[in-house]
Amino acid sequence: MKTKLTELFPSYQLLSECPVEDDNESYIFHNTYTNNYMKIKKKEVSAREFALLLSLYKLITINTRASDSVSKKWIQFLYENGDAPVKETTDIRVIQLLYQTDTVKESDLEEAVTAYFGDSLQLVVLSSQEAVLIEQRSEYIQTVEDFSSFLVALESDFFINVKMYIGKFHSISPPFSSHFLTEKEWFSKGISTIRAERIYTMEKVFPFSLIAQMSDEMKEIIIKEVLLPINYDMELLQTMQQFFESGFNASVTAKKLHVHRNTLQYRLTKFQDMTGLSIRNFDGALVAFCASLIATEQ
Amino acid sequence: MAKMVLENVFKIYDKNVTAVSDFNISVEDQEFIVLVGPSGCGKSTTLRMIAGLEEISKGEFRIDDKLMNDVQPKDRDIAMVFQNYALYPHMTVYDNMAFGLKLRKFNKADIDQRVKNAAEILGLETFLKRKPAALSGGQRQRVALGRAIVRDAKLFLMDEPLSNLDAKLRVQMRAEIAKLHRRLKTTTIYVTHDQTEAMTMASRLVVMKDGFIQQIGTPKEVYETPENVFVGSFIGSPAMNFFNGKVVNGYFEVGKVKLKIPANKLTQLIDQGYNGKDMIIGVRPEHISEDASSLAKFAESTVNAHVEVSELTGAEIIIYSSLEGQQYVARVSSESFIQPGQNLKLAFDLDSAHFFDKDTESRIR
Repeated sequence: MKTKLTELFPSYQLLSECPVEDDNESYIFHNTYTNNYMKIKKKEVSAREFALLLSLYKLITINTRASDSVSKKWIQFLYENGDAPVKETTDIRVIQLLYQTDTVKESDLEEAVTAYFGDSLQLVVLSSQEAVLIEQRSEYIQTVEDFSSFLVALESDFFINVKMYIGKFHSISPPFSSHFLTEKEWFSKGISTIRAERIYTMEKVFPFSLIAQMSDEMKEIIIKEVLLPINYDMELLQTMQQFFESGFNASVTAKKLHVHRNTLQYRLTKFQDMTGLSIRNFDGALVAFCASLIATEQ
Repeated sequence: MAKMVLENVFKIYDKNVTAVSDFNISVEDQEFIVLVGPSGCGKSTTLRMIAGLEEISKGEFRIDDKLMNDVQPKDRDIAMVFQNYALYPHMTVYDNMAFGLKLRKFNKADIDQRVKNAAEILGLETFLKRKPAALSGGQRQRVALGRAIVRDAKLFLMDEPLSNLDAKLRVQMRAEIAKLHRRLKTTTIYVTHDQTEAMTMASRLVVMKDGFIQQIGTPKEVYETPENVFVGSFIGSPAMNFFNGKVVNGYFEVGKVKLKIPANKLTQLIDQGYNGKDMIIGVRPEHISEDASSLAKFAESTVNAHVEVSELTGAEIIIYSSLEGQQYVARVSSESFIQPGQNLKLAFDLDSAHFFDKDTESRIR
């Protein structure tokens, strides 16, 4: 595929990250399936080829608006270790947004962000499909629930499917840019490993990443000791996973799974009986959690 | 007003994870369809495919005979209401309701008329200048409904809209949404995990499990003729009782206990080769009784029960007992005085019972 594209378009470049700078001479297309970006010189693309590429991929418009704007400063800060746009003693985190449409107007998105978060978050639009929200550490830190509700508001008003990565707070002093670029990588990893998810964090992506790197021998042990005894019962595994994600709290787990507490208790006991793992202990829970991830991966 | 068709629709993620399999339904104009099932059954994914927020991997989705698969979500003429109210805290109720219209470039007068009309329908006229924080949970949910109503869309999609509310408010809002649907007559697809909500609101139910439709029918059809063990167990509260046993000489044998099978059902079972085979019988709690007339009517299908737990719910008593090691629940009138530890005779109404294949767990017809 790559060779054929290179034959057609000699300037063709496959990128894992969306370019920040627009050279005005190239098209950037986003392959939403593989989450890669393709850069091709405009002069090499005929009208017919452009139409074909457009039907297969999303055309990305890099945000080059207002070269001296606050956004521009933030983009330079995030990507190129530029000067910090806010005072250097502050901790900030970056919330990345990826939306698969190019119909969102920046001013509309800005209005939604202000209406939702007030002045506490700064919106920086990176391209026609990507934006970031910058949050400074303050008395009130936005919660996952706040962001989740914001995504729903965007879905119902803008009719867009938004994916989000909530970064960690770091001091704004260098090397903040490297934190941001690492988090961008984690976001990409998350999207490719847990596609149905909408809000990603490092702690959500990390276990999946760990399983992806686990040796086959280690996986075999877990399959033999956990997955085969329960006959890959996905209902049991999802129950375990929800139990762990709910902090071992049976009431919260039962509520999230929409089952009666007794049903949950029955499933937990059944899992323990079949595998011999004591899931209320950290060691047993860790193995059970890995088992549920391996089963999902398979 | 819209007619909607989903034909052989699949949602397949990477690595062949199938969230929805072969989903088929034809929804008539003005219907109130409820997708119901346990967590992870694919109901919300189906709704999101209709909204265009998830791509349809395979199959066709049409509104009024127009293929919608590749139509942009914003152009599908759909309005959505979600579990969390999705209100903007820094906007007034009026602006929250107007925002979607403003994005779509409606003129001010039109927006004003639509917002005021929706506010009147929902009884929110006096709250229009307030911000969401100054509203109760029920009022916020009404604003969320208002945000959908102002669009005057062809199709309403609602994803667990009442799950955030407490039990009392949920019952009240349930009735309000039903009333709203009768007034607006907009075709509605409603997702819930709550079978009571599903039963009370739906014109038709779609019961789902593991991405597959288990049964489509009116609440009465689904309750009275469940297609399989899962549907029988999921719809109805308390849930249907299931007993493993076999058909022997005209009786359903559960261990040493024998229950007489009505003649018409017995013929059906024998004709289909179930005589002597292991199978499952499903009996609703209300079809197990202790009153004299039932004991006389079903004299050949009575059991001696030891009451393990009894719960007085008001008009009824829920009895927990077991039959040959298999737990069951009976629902009897509270006129009877039944205490835990008591022994009594219960009649099983096998005329109303359901027979399921042991291997496939499907209903035997």
